Amino acid sequence: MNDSMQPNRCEDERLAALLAAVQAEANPAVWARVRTRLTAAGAPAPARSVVGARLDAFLDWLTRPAAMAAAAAALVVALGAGWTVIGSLDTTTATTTTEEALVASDATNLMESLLEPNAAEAADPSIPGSENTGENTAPGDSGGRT
Amino acid sequence: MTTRGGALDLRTETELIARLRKQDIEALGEVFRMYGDAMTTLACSLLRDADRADDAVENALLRIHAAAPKFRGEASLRSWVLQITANLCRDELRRRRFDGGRPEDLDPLATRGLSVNPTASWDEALDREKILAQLEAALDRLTDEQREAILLRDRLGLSYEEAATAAGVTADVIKARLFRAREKLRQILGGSERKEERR
Repeated sequence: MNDSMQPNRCEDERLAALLAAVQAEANPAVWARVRTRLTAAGAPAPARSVVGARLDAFLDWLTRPAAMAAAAAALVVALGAGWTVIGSLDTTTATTTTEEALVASDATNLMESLLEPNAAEAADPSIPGSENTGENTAPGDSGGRT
Repeated sequence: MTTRGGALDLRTETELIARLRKQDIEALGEVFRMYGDAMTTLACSLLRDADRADDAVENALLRIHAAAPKFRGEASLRSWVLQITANLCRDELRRRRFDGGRPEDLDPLATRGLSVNPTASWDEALDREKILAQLEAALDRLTDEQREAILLRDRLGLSYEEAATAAGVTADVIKARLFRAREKLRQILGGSERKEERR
């Protein structure tokens, strides 16, 4: 087994020598770029207004996944609450409208019921003085009926 | 101190790590001077593209600067630096696989930013560029893990432990990957040599 491994070992050493013969040199421009970036990142930020800084901070916060999830959850809750409120308002409006409608209807019926006998009298020719227009009738006179 | 790209002596390394942990930009510059060639060689060999390799080294330096305060010095500085570089190269390879990558280059050494070390002593003076180009082509046929292992160990001269740290695996895994990588390279290169002989 050692005999069979010996050529492999020689071959491996030759391979390693060949592999080690190939190298690359570092590009100085890479370090220049890194230095510039680090210096720029470490330099004090230019003065910004308080509103601008707060807006930046808010935008930073807004872009976080957790913030996005929280915002989405808040939107869902707000939509749900809005839907519920709108639903209850619709019901109230309908009730009010119905009540008003009922009141209006009652009032109409009442008026009609008050006016109806006179209308019946006016239409009945057997009732004396029913054709009068009220010119000969004193105020508070019931029309001659006793 | 030690030679460029080699391991630092303990005192120098401890001092350099202390300065790095304080995010001293000059200390990062020393890291680049010491290990920039090794980082670039690793990135060029793994990514096979000089421009992308430069980007990877740049990003690795920025990451070293950012992560330095948390570095406790459990591993050697060299293996930690190369680990960060290798991680970024792996990420880049994954992305490239996703976007389809670039076509194979005709001159694998030059376009990858690699060159033959003129000071290396070896006996294949004739056709050495051709042999090395064949070797680079053979490396392309290894898996990413096998290629990384053989580059860390044989091209950069890291110990098994350092190579394991840089690859983020155990020394046994590195040894196994190296064994398979060398076996495969022998097969590929043996096959291509037989083809040359038949011609």
